Amino acid sequence: MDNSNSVPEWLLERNESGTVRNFFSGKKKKIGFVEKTINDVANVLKESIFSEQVANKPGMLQNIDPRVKLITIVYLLVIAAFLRHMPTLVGLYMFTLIMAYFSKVPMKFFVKRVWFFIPFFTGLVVLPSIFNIIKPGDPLINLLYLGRRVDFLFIHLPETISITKQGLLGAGLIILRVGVSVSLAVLLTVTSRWSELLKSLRVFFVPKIFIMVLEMTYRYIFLLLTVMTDMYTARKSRTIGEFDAKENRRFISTGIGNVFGKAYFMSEEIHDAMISRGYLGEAKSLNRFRVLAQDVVWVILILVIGIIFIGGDKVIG
Amino acid sequence: MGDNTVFELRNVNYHYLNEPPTLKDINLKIYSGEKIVILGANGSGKSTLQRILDGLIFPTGGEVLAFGKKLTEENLNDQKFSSEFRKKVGFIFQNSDAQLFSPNVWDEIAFGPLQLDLPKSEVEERVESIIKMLGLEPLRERPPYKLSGGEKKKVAIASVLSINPEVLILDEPTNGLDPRTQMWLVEVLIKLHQAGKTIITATHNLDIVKDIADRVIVLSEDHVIAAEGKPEDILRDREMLLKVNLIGEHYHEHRHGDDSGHGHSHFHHHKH
Repeated sequence: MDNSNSVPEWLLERNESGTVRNFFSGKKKKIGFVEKTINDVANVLKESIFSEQVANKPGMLQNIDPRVKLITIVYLLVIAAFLRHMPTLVGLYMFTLIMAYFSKVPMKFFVKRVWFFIPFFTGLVVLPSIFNIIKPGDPLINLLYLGRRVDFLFIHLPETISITKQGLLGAGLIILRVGVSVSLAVLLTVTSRWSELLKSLRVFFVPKIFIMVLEMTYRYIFLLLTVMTDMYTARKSRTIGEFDAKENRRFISTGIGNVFGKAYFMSEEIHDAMISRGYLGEAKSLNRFRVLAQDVVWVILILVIGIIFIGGDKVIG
Repeated sequence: MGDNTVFELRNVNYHYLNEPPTLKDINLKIYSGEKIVILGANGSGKSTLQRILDGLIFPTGGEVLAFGKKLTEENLNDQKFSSEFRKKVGFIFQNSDAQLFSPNVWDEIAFGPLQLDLPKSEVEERVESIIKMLGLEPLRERPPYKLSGGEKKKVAIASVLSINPEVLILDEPTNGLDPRTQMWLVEVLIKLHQAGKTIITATHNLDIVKDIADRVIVLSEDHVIAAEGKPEDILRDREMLLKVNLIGEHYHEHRHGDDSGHGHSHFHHHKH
């Protein structure tokens, strides 16, 4: 045996503390901000894999040429922006549900993804407009009786503060419109692969080099996210006990440095790999999309549906 | 001899900024249709040598000729020369993640031919036939992050083969591959060699050397050529292999049956 490389004595000792009897201490570990961030990263990965799964299903929207899909969805978004009445907006939302159904998008996910956040964000923004403080209107529910008008600098309060019919209707319209728009956007993104979606941006004259940069960014974000989670799990597997916040911050900052270094080193290697295959600084890509008869039918269908909704909206008033 | 020389290196030196050299006094000729293995321990300069051969970096001393013409940064800035050279030489990187930068497998394989301005129909035909040849059908629309290590290597090879290069340079191709994929790779390389390709592989995997080399070049840890010769002679020279730190004292080779038996040696080492 080679004596110079012999195993040090302490490495041969067996660790006796890990016997079954005192394997558990009963104390739970706290989840720190590092772990939370890493969990979020894992969720990003999981979600994108999920949407890739939907995009690979043989559904209605999945079969439409991505460029055609992008244009028709944008067209429907414009229609949604023009609708001024509840019934037509509700109708358009029903239509997105039908599209989701035939595109095999899980309904629960589709509805939840849209309606979970909108009430919070849009709802919060439009909340003041339902009161007669902002805009006068027919009172629906009286909230507070002040006795007389208050006029102080730029504050003008009416005698009675109430929720108005017009305000509520207006707020409802905005929330619904945002809901329909977000539904359309979700429909577009979950039924298309990212690479196809980016490539179809060409129809809006987005330069090739820009699309290529986006594609590569998307591709390498994944790699760096995996590097990050690996770094964290590697540390976690060697961790006995807990780290304090200071130690965690140090880990994060060195981690950021490491990932940055890796990204920089890799960017050079990627560039070499591109050069080696004949890249001369000009992005060349191949368009594999083909417009088929079904795409033409789809465009006509969507055009007609759009016109019906706009027409219906006019009829209502 | 002059005609079928693919690469000629004369007194090539390389060092990065003020760091110690990674290659010293390399004199080497590589001929068309040869299978060459560059052997060397980690850090001996194999990758640097291959990058020089692919015109990705340029020697700090000496000169390199490729297909009889000087391989310099200036010449490679010439569009025609560069595109001719890139068509003839393909490089398979050790790190498949750096090599696979396209959003999916199909686009990856199409990248090379597209850059070299092949007509659309031919690009499509080449991609399809390479996919078929390497059995990549189930992967064609997959993004690279959903490929396993072995699949990534296969796609990397496909992405270079679609250019149809005369010379194939591979940097540690068997690293991280399971034995079955290693075998697959060796078989592909043998097939390509039979089709007339020049194959230059850098490796420290001694098990595959006999299968993929007519000639072996050994780089020592002080970055010079320590030995050059037939694979059988090189692998038998224990003293030299020990000196360049490719093997440990307890290494010995096992072969099943007779040397002339199967096409491949089997992978067995015993470490005592």
